[in-house]
Amino acid sequence: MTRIRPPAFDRVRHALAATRRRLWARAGLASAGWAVAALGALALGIILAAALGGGPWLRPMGVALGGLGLMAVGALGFVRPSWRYRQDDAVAEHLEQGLPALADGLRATVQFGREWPEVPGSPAMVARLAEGVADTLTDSDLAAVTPLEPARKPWLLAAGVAAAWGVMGLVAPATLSAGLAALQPPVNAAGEVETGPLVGDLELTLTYPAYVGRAPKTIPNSAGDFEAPKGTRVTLKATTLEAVAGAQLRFGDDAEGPALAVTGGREVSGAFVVTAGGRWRFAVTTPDGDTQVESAPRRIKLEPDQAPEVVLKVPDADLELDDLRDVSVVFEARDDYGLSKVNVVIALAADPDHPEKVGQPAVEGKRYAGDEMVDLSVVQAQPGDRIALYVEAFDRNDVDGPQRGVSATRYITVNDPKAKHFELSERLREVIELLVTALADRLEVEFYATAEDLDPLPARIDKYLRSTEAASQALAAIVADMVDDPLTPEEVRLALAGRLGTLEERLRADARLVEATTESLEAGHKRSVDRVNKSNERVVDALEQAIVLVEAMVARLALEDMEALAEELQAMRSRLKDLIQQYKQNPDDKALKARIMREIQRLRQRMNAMRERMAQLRQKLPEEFLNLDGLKKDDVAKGLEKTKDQLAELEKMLEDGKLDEALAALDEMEAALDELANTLDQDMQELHENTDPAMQKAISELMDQAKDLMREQKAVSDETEQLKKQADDAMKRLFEEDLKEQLAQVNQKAERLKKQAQDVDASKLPRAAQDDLKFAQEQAEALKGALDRQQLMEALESSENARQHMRDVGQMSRYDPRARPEQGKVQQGQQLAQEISDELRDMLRQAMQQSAQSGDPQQSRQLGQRQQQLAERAERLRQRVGEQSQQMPQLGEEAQKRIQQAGQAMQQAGDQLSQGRPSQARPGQQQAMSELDGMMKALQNANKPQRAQRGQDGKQQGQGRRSSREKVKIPGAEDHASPEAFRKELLEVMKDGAPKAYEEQVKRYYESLVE
Amino acid sequence: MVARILAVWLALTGGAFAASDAEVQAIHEAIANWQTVEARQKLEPLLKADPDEPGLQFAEARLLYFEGRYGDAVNLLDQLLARLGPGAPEAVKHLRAEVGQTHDTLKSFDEYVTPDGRFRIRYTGRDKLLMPWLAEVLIKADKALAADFAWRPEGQILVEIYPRIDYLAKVSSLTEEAIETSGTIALCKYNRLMFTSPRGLVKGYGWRDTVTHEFVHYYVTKKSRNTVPIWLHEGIAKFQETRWRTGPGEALDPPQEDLLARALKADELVTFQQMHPSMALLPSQEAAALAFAEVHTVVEFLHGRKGYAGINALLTNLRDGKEMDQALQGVYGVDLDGLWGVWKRAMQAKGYKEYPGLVRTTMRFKRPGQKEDTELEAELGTIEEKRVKDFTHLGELLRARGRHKAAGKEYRKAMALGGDGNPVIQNGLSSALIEQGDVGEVPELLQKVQRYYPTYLNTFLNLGEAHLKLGRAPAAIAAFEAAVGINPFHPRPHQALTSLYEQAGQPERAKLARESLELLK
Repeated sequence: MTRIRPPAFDRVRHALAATRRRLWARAGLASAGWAVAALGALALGIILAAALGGGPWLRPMGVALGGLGLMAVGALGFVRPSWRYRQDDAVAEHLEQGLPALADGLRATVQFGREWPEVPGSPAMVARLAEGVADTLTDSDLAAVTPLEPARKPWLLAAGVAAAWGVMGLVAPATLSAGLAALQPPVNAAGEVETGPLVGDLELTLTYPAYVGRAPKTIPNSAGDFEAPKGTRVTLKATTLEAVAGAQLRFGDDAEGPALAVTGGREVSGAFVVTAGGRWRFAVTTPDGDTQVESAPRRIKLEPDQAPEVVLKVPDADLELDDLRDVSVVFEARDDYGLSKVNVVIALAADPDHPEKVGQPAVEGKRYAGDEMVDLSVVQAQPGDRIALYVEAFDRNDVDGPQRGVSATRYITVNDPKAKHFELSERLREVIELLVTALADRLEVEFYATAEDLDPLPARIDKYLRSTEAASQALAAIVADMVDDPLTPEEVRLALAGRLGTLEERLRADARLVEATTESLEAGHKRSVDRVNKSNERVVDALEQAIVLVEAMVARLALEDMEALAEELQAMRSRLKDLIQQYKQNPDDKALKARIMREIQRLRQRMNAMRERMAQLRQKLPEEFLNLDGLKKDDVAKGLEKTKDQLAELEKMLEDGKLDEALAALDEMEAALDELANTLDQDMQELHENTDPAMQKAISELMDQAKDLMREQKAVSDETEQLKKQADDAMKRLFEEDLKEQLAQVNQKAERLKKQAQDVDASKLPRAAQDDLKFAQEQAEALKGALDRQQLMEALESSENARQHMRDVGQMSRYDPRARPEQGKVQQGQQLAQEISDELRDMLRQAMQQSAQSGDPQQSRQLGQRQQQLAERAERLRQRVGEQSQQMPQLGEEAQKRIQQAGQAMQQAGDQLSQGRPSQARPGQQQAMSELDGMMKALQNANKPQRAQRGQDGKQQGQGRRSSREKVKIPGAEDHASPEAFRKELLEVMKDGAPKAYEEQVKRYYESLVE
Repeated sequence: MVARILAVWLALTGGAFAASDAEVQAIHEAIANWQTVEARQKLEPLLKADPDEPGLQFAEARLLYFEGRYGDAVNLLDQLLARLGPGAPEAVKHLRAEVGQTHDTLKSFDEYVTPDGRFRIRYTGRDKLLMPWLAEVLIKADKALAADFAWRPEGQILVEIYPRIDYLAKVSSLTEEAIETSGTIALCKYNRLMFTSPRGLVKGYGWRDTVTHEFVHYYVTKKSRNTVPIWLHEGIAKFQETRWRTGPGEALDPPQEDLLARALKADELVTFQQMHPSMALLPSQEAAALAFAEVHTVVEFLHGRKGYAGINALLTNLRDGKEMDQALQGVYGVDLDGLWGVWKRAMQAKGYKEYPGLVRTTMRFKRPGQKEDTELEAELGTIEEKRVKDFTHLGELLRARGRHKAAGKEYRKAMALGGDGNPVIQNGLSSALIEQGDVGEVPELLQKVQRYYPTYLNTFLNLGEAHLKLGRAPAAIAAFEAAVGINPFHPRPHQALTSLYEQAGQPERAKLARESLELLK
């Protein structure tokens, strides 16, 4: 039986289909909502991230995430529910859940509909079931069973995202714009599209610079990253990923770069040199003409070339030297690629810009060890200088030029005796305070007062004893130290020592007296007090003299120091001038120029020293000494200032190569320095004169007498000259008239003699005779000249000499057969010379007779008497100088000696005049004048202060004084207990060391200071 | 001079002008003779008639300069030079440079007019302190001089005080060297009194007599219409310089007398001819001092013969154009040579005495930048004998260290050898004694040096202190006032005078001293 399929099954199927469509629509709607929300949020996030600094990479990331999101949303929100509801059973289940009235009839109906007519049980029942289900479905609101509500949530979220977009659009539109801009496709500034790698199979070949000493290196399949030293040549070849019309390299952010060769549309090759580390890329031009550049750069890392490392081993610390000796220098230099040059460098610390370099031999390899004795004089170092020493090494870098490595710098100080001397001067100045205190204590002591508020007399006395002792000891220590100070003039030291001796002697006597009378002083015995008072006055007197002397010596030392500095400046200026003249000849000599600049620096340094010294002098000396003209009027300071300005100009001229102007400036500086030295000299002289007025007076008187004597000697000399002239005139007349014919004959003979001598053939004479012939010829020539000048004495001497030489020629050649032909000529010459001599003697006799007759004997005798009187006055003056020298040995022996010689010369001249020979008197007179002049100069010199022995440039000369004083022991803490013994020893030593005359001189010198 | 000016005038006007030669010449003559009031009266109507006339403008500029209106003169000369262009006469350019320099130097100065309106005083800085003291001297001097000369210059008198000598050099024709060599400290030139402040010298100077001295020059120039030769000018000024404080006939100071006595003895007087054109150009301060002593006594001699009537008659004769010989003959019956002779004999007869041991003191000028303090400072250079110098120096050393008793002993040693006429020694000892409170001896110690060296500041400071401690108020006031008369910038006199005046019932003077002290703070 055929069973008819009930229509209810179709009604159910249609209902199910309608429900399925709605389910699918709902899923699609929800998925779309999720997708919009997610994509909107993602897009906003990406844009914001891009705006906050993210790169273009965000864009593909956003795309990727968006795609993934869409897929996820599609799969989960749409595909999965669609798949699930593809079967009627699932839809039926969905409907049964929404329509409880169906119970499970719908799924059964669906099942039965699939199985119809083969349904289990009664088909009618099944049909009824189907009818009932279909009716229920028909009666039900199937849309309500599948509401669209679940799709609302994603769309609300999407609306929220849209709102966020809106807010951002309103609040931060710039951020959105920036973010959007940042997400644009990567196009560089040139409008080129940046892409991924453009080439493959990249092969690099690195050819290193020569100084590295490394073989070339090839890197196959390179990613393009490599490390190489600067200067390395890189050769490359690669294959482009697509066919290209052209290819380039790009370095850094450069828009252009070197072109590469393109072969076959894809093979590219080229080269470049590494100049710096950084990025590089390929760029290609497509066949369409577009340019593409690799977005990911390849990297070049620069392999560093280290500068040489230099270690100075010796000296390992700063040095202090007592003198300018050679300094040992030990060092080691290393470099990563190799050394090219090593120098030991020495410079004045004050002038590091002009060093002197001592190059090291045979520098090669990566390590160099040096051991050198360096002569500091190469920088003209001098005592007091601070010298910088270091070693420099250079590598072989020929790309950027050799790199320099420098060792630590050691400073070498050459001790300067001046520093110690200045310290000594300062101590001497300070001792004035101690002396003044001692003086005040002694002057203010009350010997007879008995006021209750006064200490007992012994205590009062003890106070001044102690202060005087302290002052005396301080002065003694200074005087002792002066022994070793070459810059303290001997006369200063000895004067101070003498004054100290007097002070100590009186102080000792005073102390002994006080000790001996302590008890009676305590008891107030007037006799004892009187004695101590008297003794005190003697010490007061010594203290007063000491203060005056010490002050004068302080001023003296300071002035002398400045004078020495001024002289040093002048010597340096002179040296500088020589150097510039040399430099003018060799303008390319850089070392010479460096030396010149160094000298200028030193000059400047010395000027500063002088300025400082002067400031100290002005600050520390009593007003009295500032009355010295130069210092008072600031002439010295002005002179220094002027010189300083000149120095600055000079430096500039040298820099500008204006050497002639520089030399002229040095000449100007010479004048300024001379002026400076003169000013100081005058001040020194003034101080000296103020310090020793008695000496000044004595010298002045002696000078006056010498001047008088000289004036009168000149008068006598002038008159003698007149007489001599008369005699000469007479002689002239004799030659021109009486002896004219005779003189002509002699002249002829002399001419013949000359010819005769020349005619002798020297080559035929023995060797020994040839020299004599030559002499004879010369004498014949000289004879002729003397006769032409009418000098008969000279002519006679020449003719005699010629005769003797001719005679010798004859004797030496008489046994030589070769010389025989010449012997006749020699004999004739000898004979001729003899005749000439005889005739000249005769003429001279006549001339002398004539001379004697021509003068005025009476006048000559009178002049002789006056000359004798002058000689006697000279003798008296000599005696006076002698007497004065006894009292003032500073006058020295020179003046006495010169006046004595003047007297003797006057005596001789007087004798000649008395014998009527004015001509013969003239030499004596001239000598007398010269000696008188010498005497006055000696007096002037004696009037000048003696200076310390300083060498050129301020260096001290010799150490004689030092060695002769070595046995002087300076009291230290251990023997402080017996300073008196030390002083005694000191004075004894000084006495031993000084010449006797000088000893007296010192005594007189300081006596004169206080008298 | 006037002829030269007239040549300028002709050059400026080109001969075409409203004013006559004679009128312009008269104006320039009046200016040259410092008759500025008269010159102004003559110039104004001419200028009114032709204000743009270059020649008249030049005269106006010159007159402004002589009236002390430097800024106006400079402006006018600048306008004139701009109009005349590069071809302007040298005299115009020269005047512009001279006035310009003066204007530049003084443009920052302040002005003070004396209460009677008679003096306009220009000063700068601390010189304000001087004003009341200076006004007092000037007013007194004006009164005395007007009586002596029986005539009084009309108009306001311009006085300028310069802080240092370099200012004086800039506004005068003298160089600093000439000023320092001759000791010139003040001038009367260009119708005004110019003097260097006492603070421009290390230890001040007798500025009151000096100001009066210059004021006398002012009187003489105006009265004589600038016809008096330099020797007579200086003689009258020297003779009259003390008139602000005393009657005529003040004796020579010992240093001057000593100089004159020695010069008379050695017959080495400075002649009238050597004094020309200026005492300031004499070769040394000593020569200048001798010249002043000579001319002082010449005028003293003339005054002794016929009093001020004779001197005034002589000035009138000179003003009226008589030569010196004629003018002298007319009044005294001798010509110049005759006067030299009779004066010399009179001086020899007078028996001026020398002062052995008198030391020569010279003015010590401060240099720019030098401190204005007035610390005591030994002038050991004035002592010739070495031992005396040494003892004095030791005294100074000890005194500087507060060891006054010991210092006193050293000064006494110096005095024993060097006598009691040295201001350094005497004042050193006095200072030491004052410090020890032992002042009784001081007035006597300083008696001689007070007379010998009337402008030695320390003497009066020490005297003032001594009298003060001895309770002798009038003597102390006199001493401190004398100190003010030498260096009013030393605070101590003002300090002491403040209380001394109050005690003496002179509140106005006390106020003056107090105000001076305030200005020194």
